[in-house]
Amino acid sequence: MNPFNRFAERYLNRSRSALSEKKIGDARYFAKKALALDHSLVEALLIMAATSEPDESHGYLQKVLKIDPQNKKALKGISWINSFLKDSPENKSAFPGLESRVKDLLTQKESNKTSSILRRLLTRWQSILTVIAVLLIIIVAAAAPILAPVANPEGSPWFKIICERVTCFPEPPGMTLPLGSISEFDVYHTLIWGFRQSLIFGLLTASITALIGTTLGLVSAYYGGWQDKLIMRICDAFFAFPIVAGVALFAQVSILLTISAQDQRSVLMTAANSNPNFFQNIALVAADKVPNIFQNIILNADPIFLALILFSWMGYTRIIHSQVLQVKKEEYVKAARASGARSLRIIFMHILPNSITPAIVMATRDIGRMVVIQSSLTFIGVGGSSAWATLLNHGKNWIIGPGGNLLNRWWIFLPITLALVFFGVTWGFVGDELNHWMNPKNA
Amino acid sequence: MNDFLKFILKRLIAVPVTLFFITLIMYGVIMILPREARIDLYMPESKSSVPGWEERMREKIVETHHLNESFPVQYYYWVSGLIEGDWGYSPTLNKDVLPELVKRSPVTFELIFYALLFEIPLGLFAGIWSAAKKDRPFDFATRLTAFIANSLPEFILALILLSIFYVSMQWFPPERLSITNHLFIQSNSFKAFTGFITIDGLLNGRFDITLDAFRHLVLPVFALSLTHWATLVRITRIQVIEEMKKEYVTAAYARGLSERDVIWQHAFRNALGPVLSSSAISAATLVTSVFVVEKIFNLKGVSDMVTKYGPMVPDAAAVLGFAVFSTLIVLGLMLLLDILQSIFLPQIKEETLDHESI
Repeated sequence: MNPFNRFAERYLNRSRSALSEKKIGDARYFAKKALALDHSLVEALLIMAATSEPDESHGYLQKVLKIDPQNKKALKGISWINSFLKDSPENKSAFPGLESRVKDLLTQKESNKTSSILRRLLTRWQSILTVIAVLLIIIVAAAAPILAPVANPEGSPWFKIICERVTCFPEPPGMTLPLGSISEFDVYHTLIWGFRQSLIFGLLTASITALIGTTLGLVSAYYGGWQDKLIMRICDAFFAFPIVAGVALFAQVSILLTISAQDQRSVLMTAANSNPNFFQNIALVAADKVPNIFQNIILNADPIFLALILFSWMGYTRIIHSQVLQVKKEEYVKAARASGARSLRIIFMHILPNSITPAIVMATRDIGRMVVIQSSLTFIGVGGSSAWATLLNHGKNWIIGPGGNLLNRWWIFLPITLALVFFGVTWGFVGDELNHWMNPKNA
Repeated sequence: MNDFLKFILKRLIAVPVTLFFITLIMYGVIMILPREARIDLYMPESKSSVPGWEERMREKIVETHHLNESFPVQYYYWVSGLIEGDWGYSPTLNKDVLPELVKRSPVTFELIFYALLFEIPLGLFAGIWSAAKKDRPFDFATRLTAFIANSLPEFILALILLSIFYVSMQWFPPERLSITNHLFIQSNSFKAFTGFITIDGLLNGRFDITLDAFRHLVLPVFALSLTHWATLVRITRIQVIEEMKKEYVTAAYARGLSERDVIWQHAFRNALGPVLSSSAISAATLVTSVFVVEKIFNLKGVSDMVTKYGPMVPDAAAVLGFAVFSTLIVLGLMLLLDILQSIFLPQIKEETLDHESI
């Protein structure tokens, strides 16, 4: 931190006010003083550029563009000088050599604009790795039908059943099974399709929770008053709710909806035998009644999906709330309001763009986090349908059962575990990188 | 002290408000069910085989619990039932829900207690130390460990631990006690004072049982505390580094205080507030992980109520009771962390750390 900053700032203010009173000489004088104390003051440089001859002002604009290559005022100034030179041949002869320098700068900026994002990304090895990892996930998810064709189009696409016996031993990797099998399931197939399932689940859950949380945070912070108090109180309350209880609740309601009361006891008996086609069977029982919209949602959605949407928006609300409270105080918002802009316009043009960054970062991290939560809860059997965790659950007795050894039957847990960890870590990194690049200091 | 009491009182008042909103949502979800299914929430144990008994019972339940009325009325009667201790009857366990929950809770509490006992001091210590030794080997080692611990989901970590330390080495078995001790503590000669076997063993003069209980606790506590230790380290480290940049720290150095004094007396004390309040916010996450770990290590804690028969068995009373009870656990935990925070910090800052850095 430059210790003279405060004084430089003071000179800049005086220069600004001199400029507004049309005292060009004073403005120039104070801007120069400010620059002497802090030579990176963009605004002072711009004032100097505006109050000098084209030749000199070109130099100042160049300095501004060195500090901030995207500075719109400096770019405009450069193009103004360009048009000034074109206006008459006298101007050209008055400042020899200026034309070529301006042209260089203009062409450079044009090419910079298009490739700058990519080029800047490639200057950080973490970013390169993250981009590669995300592309890998997306490609595998998109190409799942090609990488692992579905044999039975009527069954679940996530699993490939390769053994029809009652008891199937896990088979080691071989020619037909690239990564072996767990009980009756092909590991490779679920590994590939799991990427698709996880990506869809993560994107969907994270974007919906982010949308809900951001909206609530925005509304409560912008309008204030009793809505604000109510929303923040509800937000605090929801922090005390463990996801696992929500999942159990939704799974339970879903199961109770599918069976009518009289059949419960017989269903209890069937469930004890853990019939894999259980859900299909009981869905037929309940077909006699037309479910309402809520019942439809619960019947058709993964309970973990519902629970995560209902019970994980609070983080977004909190962070957006605190951001909006800060942004609301900024000059440009006050100016917009004073000039009569409508609330919606202020929110979408000024407040949201300046406060959304942390929510975006959080949402990308959540894509991985949600999938990890989904697989944890599926694994312990509260509810949910993560393909990876279902397979791990089937293989769990081979890992920790008698005579089990991690390395003897590595294919049971290693590929899927690695995939899950890879998925979670990658989205965590995407969040970190976004955080890095969206921070104005680094961009 | 006055401020302290005021703070605690404020937090205590927040508890019923929180419970109100959460039970409202829970009952709202239950309201999606048709009335016939909601009757089962209140069905007592079938004591009579008289024909028509069930039908009459159903009508009686509709009447006493006002199941034909609007949502607020039903909610009111449900909540007053909860307060009176009527948590319903679980057909899968063949018992009333509340006593079953209470019976299972010591296992969960013991797990949470030891996890916090290890996690908080170690997390704070490692976080501060790596902030003090920023960019030195200790810092890198801590950050690497925290990164790995953060990337491994608990259930995978637990599986790896089990397969190494139980299956291969036979050091630390799952479950709560070995079979002979388990039989013994259920006999009359063992008095359960607290429900924590590690403490009851000492009170009964059976050190071998305490030792056995600890042997069974090592893996679950480790699996549970590692992830939360990692988040704690990250937050503490960031907070202390931020504090170290502030002017009063420079002033403290200028007064001639040693680095250790500056860190422990100034930076640490001021960083503690945000750290503890962020752990209070993530208390619900901790409880979810406790249930995951309980299931994998076959500890019959509160989660046993819902995971015993899997998600496909209809037992709404048990699930609803489980949901309310686990929220109560989280609230208790949050209150505990708040009290801890106010004990360590005379002046409480209402700073809340954003969810993102957790």
